[in-house]
Amino acid sequence: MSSLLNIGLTGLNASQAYLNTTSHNIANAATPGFHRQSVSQAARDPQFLGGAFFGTGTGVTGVKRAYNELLETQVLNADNRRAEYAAYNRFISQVDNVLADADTGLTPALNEFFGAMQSVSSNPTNVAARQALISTGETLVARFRTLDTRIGEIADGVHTDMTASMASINGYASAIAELNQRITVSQVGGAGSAANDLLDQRDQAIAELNKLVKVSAVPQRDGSLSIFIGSGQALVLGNDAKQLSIGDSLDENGRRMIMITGANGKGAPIAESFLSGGELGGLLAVRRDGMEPAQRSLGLLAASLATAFNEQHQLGIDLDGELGVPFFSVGGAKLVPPTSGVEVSIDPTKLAGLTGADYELRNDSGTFKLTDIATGKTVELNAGNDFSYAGLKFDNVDAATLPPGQQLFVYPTRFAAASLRVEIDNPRNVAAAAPVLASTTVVAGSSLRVDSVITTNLGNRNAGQALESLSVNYTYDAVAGVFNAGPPLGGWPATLAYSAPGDMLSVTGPDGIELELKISGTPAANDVITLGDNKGGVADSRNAALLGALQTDKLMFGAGDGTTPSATLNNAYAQLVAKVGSKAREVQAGERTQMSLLAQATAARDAVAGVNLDEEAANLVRFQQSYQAAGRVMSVAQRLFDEMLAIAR
Amino acid sequence: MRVSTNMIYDQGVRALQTQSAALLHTGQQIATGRKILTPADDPVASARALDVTQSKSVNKQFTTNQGYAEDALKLVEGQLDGAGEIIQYARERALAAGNPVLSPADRQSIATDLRAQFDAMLAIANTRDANGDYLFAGYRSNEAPFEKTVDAGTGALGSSYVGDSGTRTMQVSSSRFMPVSFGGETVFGTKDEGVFKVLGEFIHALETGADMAVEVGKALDGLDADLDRVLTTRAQIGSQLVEVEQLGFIGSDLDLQYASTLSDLQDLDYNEAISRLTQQRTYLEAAQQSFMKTTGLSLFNYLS
Repeated sequence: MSSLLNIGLTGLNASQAYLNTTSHNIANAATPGFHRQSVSQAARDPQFLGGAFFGTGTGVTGVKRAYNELLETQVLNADNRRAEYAAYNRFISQVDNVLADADTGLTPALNEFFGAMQSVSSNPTNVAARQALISTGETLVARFRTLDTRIGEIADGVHTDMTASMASINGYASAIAELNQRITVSQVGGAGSAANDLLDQRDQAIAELNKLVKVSAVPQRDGSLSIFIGSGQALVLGNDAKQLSIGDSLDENGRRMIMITGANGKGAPIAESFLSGGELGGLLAVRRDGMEPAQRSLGLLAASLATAFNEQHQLGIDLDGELGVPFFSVGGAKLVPPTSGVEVSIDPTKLAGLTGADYELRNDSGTFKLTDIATGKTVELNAGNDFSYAGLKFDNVDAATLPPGQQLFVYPTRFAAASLRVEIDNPRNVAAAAPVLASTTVVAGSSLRVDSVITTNLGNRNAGQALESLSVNYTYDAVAGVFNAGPPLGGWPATLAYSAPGDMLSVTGPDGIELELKISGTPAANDVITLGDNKGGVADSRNAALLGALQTDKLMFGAGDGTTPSATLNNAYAQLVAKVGSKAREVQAGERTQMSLLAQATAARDAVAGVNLDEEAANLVRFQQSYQAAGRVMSVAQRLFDEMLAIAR
Repeated sequence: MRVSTNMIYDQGVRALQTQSAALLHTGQQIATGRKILTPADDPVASARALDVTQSKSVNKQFTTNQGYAEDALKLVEGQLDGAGEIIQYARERALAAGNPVLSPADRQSIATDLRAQFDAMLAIANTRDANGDYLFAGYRSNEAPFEKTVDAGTGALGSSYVGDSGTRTMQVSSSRFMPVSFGGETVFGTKDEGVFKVLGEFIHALETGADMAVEVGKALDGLDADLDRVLTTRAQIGSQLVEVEQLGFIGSDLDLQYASTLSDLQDLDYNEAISRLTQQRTYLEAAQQSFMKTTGLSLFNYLS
């Protein structure tokens, strides 16, 4: 009788356990990270009685959570990638919008500026046209600065998010460390099995941490989990959590270094490459591959525009007959440290070789090595002066400026867009005219003509000087087939050889002035070509035409030595837009893919671990009935006992 | 497959999100009329659109320059027309002066007439355009190119050229720099030859009573050469005006071409977009209804 009562009691207890667990599942149906729990049950050991084994009821052997490691890992992986793409996309799409906007983009401003240049070319004496050139130039440089500032603001946003992201990482790390400790304690107290709900809480903290940075968890014997982030940096060991922060010192890219601080309070810099994946990984990647290249491209564009335009502008003369001064100004290369004595400047003759890359220059035991920071490509630099590489000129590179073991970071054009300015404010100073004029005095029957005379180098003549006293006459000697100069020579070559119509003659004149003279027709004896300055030639717009041509000339993306340029300024800008657009498209597609993978992985996990309320409702009914049945067993036992008593009475 | 209650909600919400996002994207396309909302929608087409925009802008600038060139050429042509008439008139007066029955007083009055023509010619040679530039001064357009001179020995009128030989050009197409000014020496001759010297010497001859038979012949030869120079320049202007007109046609064709390329790259096909919008709306409504129906089901509704 007592065994019947006991059996009934075990059934009652088991049903109670089921009902409790079902209620727990229902209550936590929407709890993030909750895994549905189930009771495991087994028949109790039988009793041997009178030649047979008799059952003794049931027992609850444990409460398990529905947990499948593989499915959990799939969810974590997908969520990690999704968070990384989402962070990347959040910022790259802003850059994308800024660059392509018809009102803020560079193309309209470039078109207006060069349109104004064409107007000056058509109306060189018109002061209003010249003023319009200066004004559209101001608009253009303001556009460069706005774009640069806007990208800078977006980069500030990245920085803010990084700080927030690290604060969250630190929070989760501490939470996991604390849960590790509680789980260890519960495992000891729970005879080797840990509390399901604590495990759920820790898994949820890991899942949240995993959205911020790639996490790998290594289980330890005491039930704690060691957490490693990125590519193997330990974050939580047992109940000890490290903390991430942004330090004050700068790395080779000019970024503030990320520090990791352990329990001993000592911080150490941690390489960005260790922090891959998740939101933080996405933020670091968008700064590295999105913002910084965009800023470098803009800087390269600004430096190329300013250098090419200034070079040509300085080859012309203004309304006062003075050689052109630089039209734009642009900040030079930034060097860190700035005062070593090494000088780096853009080489205007090799402009197309410029790449926008940043460099590290190091004295490696007497060998000067120049390394592209982004690609790691290294070249050896000759010590001394006038070393040219990728459109840059290096001066004063020696052991005095850069002792062995020392290094120097060079950012040639990265900050150029922000520093671009228009230097000319007086419309008279636009150098629309060419400095040299060639004319002919021909005898009857001659067809000699000067098609063009282009000044390619001003030698020792400086910007802002008047270009005077250049005059020379060349008279044709039909017998010798050459033009004879002067007298006086005045620094010009004594003869000009002329072999065939259409010849381009390179002439080096006084003070190293270099001209290209294109002659056509057939000269006759005593034909005279006169070269002279163009002072007073205010209606001349030959230099304005050459300046205007810079809009459609290929100036950029040439070989390293500056030859074979392949892109106009606008091409280069369009390439930047395409590059950022493609990246944005790629991460948008990536985010969509990962979201759908995450949905699939979550569905697969929830199919195992999620609570189904219909199922729980059915379980409620089921275990209510089994509870009632067990109760009935006990009441039967009670009644049997009563019967027994009645018999005895 | 086992289904959890969260899955039902998650999937329903995700379907609604996806459909709403697609609907919003189409709505934005319709509102802006552009199929590319950001370069990420089509990076290659976006970059190409920037290049075509520049080509279109450059082409438009050339069209503007063609207008400038046409104005400048017509201005020169008008002045040359006047110069031609003066030379013709002077030629008639020279012929008249050759009549042996004329008295010295008659020749004097012809001389007076020709002095006025000399000044009129000088005024034409020193014409300024709307910018205040002297038309026939070459690049040195700030200074009057022709100065009236009086020969120190004979006292004959003449003129010296102080301009230069520069030819102003305007870029009227990507490869064509069109001359829009003509050096004074080309049109009116130099100090030693040309219309001013011919007129000046003939006036001097009339006033000093030189041998008219010789002088008239010399003047007629000279004036014919002068007229030739003017007419040659006018012919050049005429052919350039035709060229400008043709370039204008090419330019407007190109403009149309660029506009059509830009439209292909950027503009929305409204028929397609509106049909897509209707389709997406249907999908969204279906997703909403399906969400309400599936989430409304629960066994708890039947437990009492």
